[in-house]
Amino acid sequence: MVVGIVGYGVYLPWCRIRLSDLAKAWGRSFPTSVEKTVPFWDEDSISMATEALQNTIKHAGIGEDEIDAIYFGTTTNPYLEIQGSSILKTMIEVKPETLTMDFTNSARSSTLAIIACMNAVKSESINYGLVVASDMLIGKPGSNVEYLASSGAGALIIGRENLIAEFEGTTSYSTEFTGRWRGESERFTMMTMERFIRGHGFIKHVATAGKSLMEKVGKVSGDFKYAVFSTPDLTYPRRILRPLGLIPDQIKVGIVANSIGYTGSSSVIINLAAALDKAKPGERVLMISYANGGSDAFSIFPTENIEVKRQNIVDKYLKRKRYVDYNTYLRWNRIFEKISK
Amino acid sequence: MATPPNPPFWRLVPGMHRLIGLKCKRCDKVNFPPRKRMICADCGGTEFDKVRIGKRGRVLTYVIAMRMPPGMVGPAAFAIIDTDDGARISAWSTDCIPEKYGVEEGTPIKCDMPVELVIRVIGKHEPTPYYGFKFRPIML
Repeated sequence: MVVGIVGYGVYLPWCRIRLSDLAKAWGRSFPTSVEKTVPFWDEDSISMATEALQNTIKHAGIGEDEIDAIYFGTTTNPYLEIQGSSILKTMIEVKPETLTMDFTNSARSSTLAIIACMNAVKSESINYGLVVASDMLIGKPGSNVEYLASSGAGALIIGRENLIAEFEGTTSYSTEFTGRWRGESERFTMMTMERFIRGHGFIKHVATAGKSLMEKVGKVSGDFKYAVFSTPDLTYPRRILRPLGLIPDQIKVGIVANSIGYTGSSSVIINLAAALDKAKPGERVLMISYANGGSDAFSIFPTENIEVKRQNIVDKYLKRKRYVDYNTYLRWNRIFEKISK
Repeated sequence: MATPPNPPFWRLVPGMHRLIGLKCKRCDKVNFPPRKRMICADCGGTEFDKVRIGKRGRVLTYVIAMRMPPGMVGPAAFAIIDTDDGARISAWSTDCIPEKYGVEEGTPIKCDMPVELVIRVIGKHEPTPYYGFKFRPIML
């Protein structure tokens, strides 16, 4: 049975900070063209996920009552004991019988949620499943994580009918590896040496998952028009080109990390949305997520419907921006709080 | 339910997380927020249909707050919004800094300006947030 994407949507905060401004505050230098998103002070993973969901439902063209399950993937749920997906359920006005599930504690929770949703749709226990990923990462001031940690949300509706793209196959590969982490009751994400994460984590896992996917679906790297990854910047995907046999043109469209930073679990869905915005029918997309020693790879095949439901949502959000300075960034993230009196 | 854990807030959920209004059966006026024992603001009718209110509207009037309640970052505008469906809603501004008083460059808020309602964090029941509608200038 064919399972695929019925609609997709993203949400990116309005404000951006140039990484050069951020570096200046700590006496370092950074290329001026790179920037990341800054959430307004009243945004969090739930509010961003709500807007991504509303965009997605609008794009899919289905009623809220037809959604049977919500899968929410995040690493920054504001509550430890309330389900994020149950809060989202009340906000987008789906029926009370809708199944809600949270996938947490990993930046690849989004792709794990996609796999769970795909299987549920394939077994015909649900008709339409909603997968949403949203993250608001904050790096410790002055640390290396501060340069990449940003915020954003992306969502997909998965179903069996009216597909704009079909899932052809999926594989997973995971080992024990610690690269980025956040302990219980810690606010800031921590990170080890980037070279270690890139070499032994990202390249090894993404290449293995990608190769086993190509074997499984019987395709070679040349059959894919676009390749998208969950990535904090452009250096990661550039290093993966040779192990996977890809060329630079394949990663050009689908990587928007230089404009928004690393958005955690939603990174791979935002990149997929950027690729689907441009993909024509038949132009296959390779999607591979990565987080802490785990990778999920997907082969996605756009159908004729993608032309009918064409939207340029990622471009629209990338253009809608305003720059803030480092002080505002610190104030909005509540790293500095005003002392009253 | 992400509201402060007490009954008054919990009862407000239809108006905080969703825009559910009560449309008067006699005069078609949309009353908001919905309450259990409601009397229509226009005609005094007591029979209603539940309707979903659209998220677009216009600013009727506003005030700019420089000193914000605890947990909020200012300056921000507090406005009364007339939605396109005829409901009247009060909400804080978001995604914009009222230009006249703020130090930073921002989006000026004016009467009759088209706005949309979005879900944001309204406040904190420490340390966890609760959510509700705020308005922002239409951007996309």
